Amino acid sequence: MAAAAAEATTDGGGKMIILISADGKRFEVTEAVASQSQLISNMIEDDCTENGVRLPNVDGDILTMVVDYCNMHAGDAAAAGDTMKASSTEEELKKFDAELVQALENPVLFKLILAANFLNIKSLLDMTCQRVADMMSGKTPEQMRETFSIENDFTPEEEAAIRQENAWAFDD
Amino acid sequence: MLPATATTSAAPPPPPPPLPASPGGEPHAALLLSLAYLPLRELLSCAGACRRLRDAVAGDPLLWRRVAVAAPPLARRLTDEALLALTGRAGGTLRSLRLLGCTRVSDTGLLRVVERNLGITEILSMESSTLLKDTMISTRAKIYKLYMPRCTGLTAEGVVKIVQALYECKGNLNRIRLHGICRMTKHHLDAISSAMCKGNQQKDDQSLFYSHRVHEVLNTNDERHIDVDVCPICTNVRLVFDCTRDGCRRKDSRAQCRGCFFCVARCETCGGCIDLEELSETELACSDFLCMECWLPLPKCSTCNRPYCKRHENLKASSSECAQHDRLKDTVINRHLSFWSVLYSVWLPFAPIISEFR
Repeated sequence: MAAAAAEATTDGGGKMIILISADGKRFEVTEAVASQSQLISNMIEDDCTENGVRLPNVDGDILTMVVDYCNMHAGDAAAAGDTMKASSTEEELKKFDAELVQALENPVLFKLILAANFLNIKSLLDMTCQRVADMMSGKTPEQMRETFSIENDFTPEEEAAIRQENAWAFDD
Repeated sequence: MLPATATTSAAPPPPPPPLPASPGGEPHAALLLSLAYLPLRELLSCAGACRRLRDAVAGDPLLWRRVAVAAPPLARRLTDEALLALTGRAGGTLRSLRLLGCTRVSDTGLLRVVERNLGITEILSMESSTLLKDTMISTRAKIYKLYMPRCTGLTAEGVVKIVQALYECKGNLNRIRLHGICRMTKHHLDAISSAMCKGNQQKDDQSLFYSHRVHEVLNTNDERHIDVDVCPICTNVRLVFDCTRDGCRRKDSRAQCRGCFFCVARCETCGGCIDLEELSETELACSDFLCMECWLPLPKCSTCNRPYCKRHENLKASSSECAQHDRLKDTVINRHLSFWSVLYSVWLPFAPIISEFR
């Protein structure tokens, strides 16, 4: 799957950049695609991408998703001038984004958030964090612990104190 | 945490995220990144889940610089004390406070918040608008935008008081939007503009041109200090438009075609003034007005020779006929149909008798 994504990008024009994931998978992407990551964009400016960019924080599976996302959104800026084209691709992009985040299990979603944060891709970070925020919507603290497998490490006194503090918002 | 290769060391990487938590129940680091995206209720709820999240929510003033209480269940429950505690989490750096329908927050409650957060630059308070009137007074807050959309409870006198109070405490109010506040007179406007001009020594002489967008509630492109003016024709305080035509903007004729929406008819497309003769010739199928220049190139209805303006083009039923004609045609056909169906139903009982006669 990772190899397929890498091959799909090689036929694009422009200078190519090689991204290397933590487990050694290599992805070849165009400069335009890669520079959506502010981190890599800075590296391109500093001319230090020739030997490939090692991303020790990002697994191959996650990097596959990130590269897919960046490939989809690379045409975004280029098509902005042409209104007809932009409007048609905009809908496709929205659909692609929605499908991307909806299908993810929590651990994968979390890893994607960390990768987006590390690579500094604001639109991807916004989208994934918003998904987490949506998952939290309307939940009580107990339900949040359940959803995100968080252990309740409060002492009874601490829990009472925080309940008291937020009592105005939750008591009917 | 930094990329390990020599090539990456030259680039300035963003602050690396903390390592993912162990699966033993600590919240995942990604959850902490998501806190900034949570609305108020979920943020409070989240703080009750575990110690790490509680500390993250309480310890980050950036999460609390913009507070919005706008959803029904929280808005109705928000009390003065709760508002003070919420805004206190910003540690005096509150920038924006938006309250919508917070009926239990009182003047004194809001006053205390503003006093403790003097850097606040935006307060939007809708449907609980009686608050605004008295609260800004005697505070030294640096409010530089005062927008009061749909605050129907505000009066012209109340707004004058707020602006004067802000001037007295050296506020730097530079934009105010008064369109839509009832019974505003020239005296109110003079008082407001003199208080504002004393504060920031600028006289705005930007022209306002007509387009349907000026009626939008928060038209952010508009840089002028005060949106309304005294109409030179009817002397009411309203949005007053300048003419877009070069010929009209000459000094001698400027006075004649500068006026509010009700006094000077303006072209929907170009914003230029239209005289009465022109108006009778450039009839439209919608209720807007167009000048002759903009009217001529538009496609007309093949029956009545009337076009739609650009804004109402979507109402056009077919390529060559306007919607009214389509409707007319429909009613004509319907009448024909109903005439024959009535005739038929009258004739039907006699049908067997008539056929027997044959």
